[in-house]
Amino acid sequence: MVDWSSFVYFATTTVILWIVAIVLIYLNKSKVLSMLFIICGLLLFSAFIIGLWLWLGHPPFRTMGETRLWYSLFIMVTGFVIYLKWKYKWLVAYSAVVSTVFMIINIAKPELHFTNLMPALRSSWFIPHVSSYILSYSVLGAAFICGLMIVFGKREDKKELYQLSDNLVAIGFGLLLAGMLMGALWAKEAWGDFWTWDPKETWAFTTIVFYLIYIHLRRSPKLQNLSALFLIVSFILLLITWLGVSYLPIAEYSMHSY
Amino acid sequence: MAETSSRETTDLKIFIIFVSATLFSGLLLELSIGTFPFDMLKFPISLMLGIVILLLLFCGKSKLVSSLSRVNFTVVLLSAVGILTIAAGLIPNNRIVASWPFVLVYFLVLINLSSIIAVRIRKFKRGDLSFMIVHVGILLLLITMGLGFADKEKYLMRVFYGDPEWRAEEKLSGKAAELDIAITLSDFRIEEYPPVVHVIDKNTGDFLISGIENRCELIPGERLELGEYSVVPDSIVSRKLISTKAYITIFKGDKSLGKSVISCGNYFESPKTYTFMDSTVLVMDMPQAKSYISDIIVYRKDKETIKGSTSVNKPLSIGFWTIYQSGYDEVKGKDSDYSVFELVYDPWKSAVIGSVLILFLGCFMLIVGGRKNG
Repeated sequence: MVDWSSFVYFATTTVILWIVAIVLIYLNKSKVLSMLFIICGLLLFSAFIIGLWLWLGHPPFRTMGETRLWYSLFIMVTGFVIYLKWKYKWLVAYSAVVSTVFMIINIAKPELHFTNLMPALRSSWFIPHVSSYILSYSVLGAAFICGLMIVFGKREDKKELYQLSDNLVAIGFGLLLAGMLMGALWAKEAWGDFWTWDPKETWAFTTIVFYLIYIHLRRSPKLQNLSALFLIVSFILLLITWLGVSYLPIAEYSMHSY
Repeated sequence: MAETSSRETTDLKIFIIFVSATLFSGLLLELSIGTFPFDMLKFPISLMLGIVILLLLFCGKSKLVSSLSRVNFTVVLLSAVGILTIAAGLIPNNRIVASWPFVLVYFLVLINLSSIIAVRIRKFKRGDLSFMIVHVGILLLLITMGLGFADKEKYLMRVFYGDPEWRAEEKLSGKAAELDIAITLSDFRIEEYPPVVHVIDKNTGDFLISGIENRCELIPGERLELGEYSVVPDSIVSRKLISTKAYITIFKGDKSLGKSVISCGNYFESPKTYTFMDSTVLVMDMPQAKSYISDIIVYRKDKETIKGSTSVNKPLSIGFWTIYQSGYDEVKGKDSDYSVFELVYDPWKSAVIGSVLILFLGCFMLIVGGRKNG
């Protein structure tokens, strides 16, 4: 049976597979083999999530540790898909590093409690709302790295990087907004308000606004140079929304437990 | 090129001055007459304002509208919104999002959005479709949700078994009100998850096996391993006026130690536990709630009577009213003599949902198309 105690084995094997794959990619050795290793890692990690899902009896979205699990998976899927399309080696390496960091956090500080879903969470909006957010976080995480490379890198291919980040932001922003709208419809069903400016909602709104600033700056001939900076700031806001709100004094007024 | 650039700079300066002046006048209003009076926006004012903003859509030729549609105006406005909401996210118990500066900037955003659409619609190309859908969706959502806010009413109503209730308490002010909608409670019940058991040391009270960490649920017919012992629940009884009970057979290895009954207790029954041979004790936790459900009959003036049920996440909608399950007597649990409902009157609900659906389509196009369609 798969439960949290087996996570360390699944995670270690997955990471080893990915390390081998990335070494192969950087050595320009067998491309097929490296891709095969990445896919095997993804399948193994997915197998753990499915096993955990079956063991829990509900989708693992409830605790912080569980959302990190999905992030680990999706960030690697995103990095891999972008690598297949645009051939950015650094992106697949970055995705693997971030994914591994989240796995290590889950091993060191899993924050798991067996809880049945409380009545308000028993909604068909639950899975699409959370998964849309987690997916967007992973895509926007990649855009954040693009932003760092544009601001701090001395690269010649800034134009190309901007093209990539524009695409990533369009996709990530679409997912972020869709996640927020699903949350609003759910909140109306559960509590009678689409929007209540709960602290988590306020920060999610600010994140959306800053990505909108990025998108519009890219169309402003005068201010375009500022836009990469907003890729970075927006992602910091996103992290505050996701992980940071619970550490702010305002958190006691929030109904989002993670 | 140089000329365009200098015009851009002038534009930007003007927009920054304009938005700062708006924020400053908002601040002065806030300090002089207090928080924004949302009652002012009640129907029909809300509808009229919405129409005025939508009328801008037909003024795409106007020079003013064209200036108000500039991307730098959007950037300056969004920055103002961003700064205000960061402050709102940092300061506990603030009223920033209901303050004059925020409301005024919100209106400028509406004007900016409709100007953008007005200008773009005049030279519409097929490639602009997703741009249009996203912008129209956001505009409609901000109009229906923002302006509709003033028309929303929320009440809490406590309904005891038997008599119809029409009196309620206004949620925010706590003022008593008589509504033109009345409710009778036919049944209130709680659906529960399977009960969880723990093994504790009788002398110290410490958990030897925590049912929460080890997922020790009692499911009829399913053997639950508890260290050297195991139990098989023969049946679980959970209904009104008794505390949840499990009839169990206890085993040590394969050998049966006999049958017993354990219960979690409630407001009039004390809990029943089972003591193993070695003075460790099997106890049952209060079952966690899966759902709270009320069967109700709703009466409205001059309209048909409706029978239905309302539970968390499945409210009952009747006309512009929606009835939410909100509370019960927590001491008595499923034996509660009453149910508390939150009644929300929201005439704009369908319009908001319609706008959300348009925006969903926009999101979909962004996700599939990427930047080229943005």
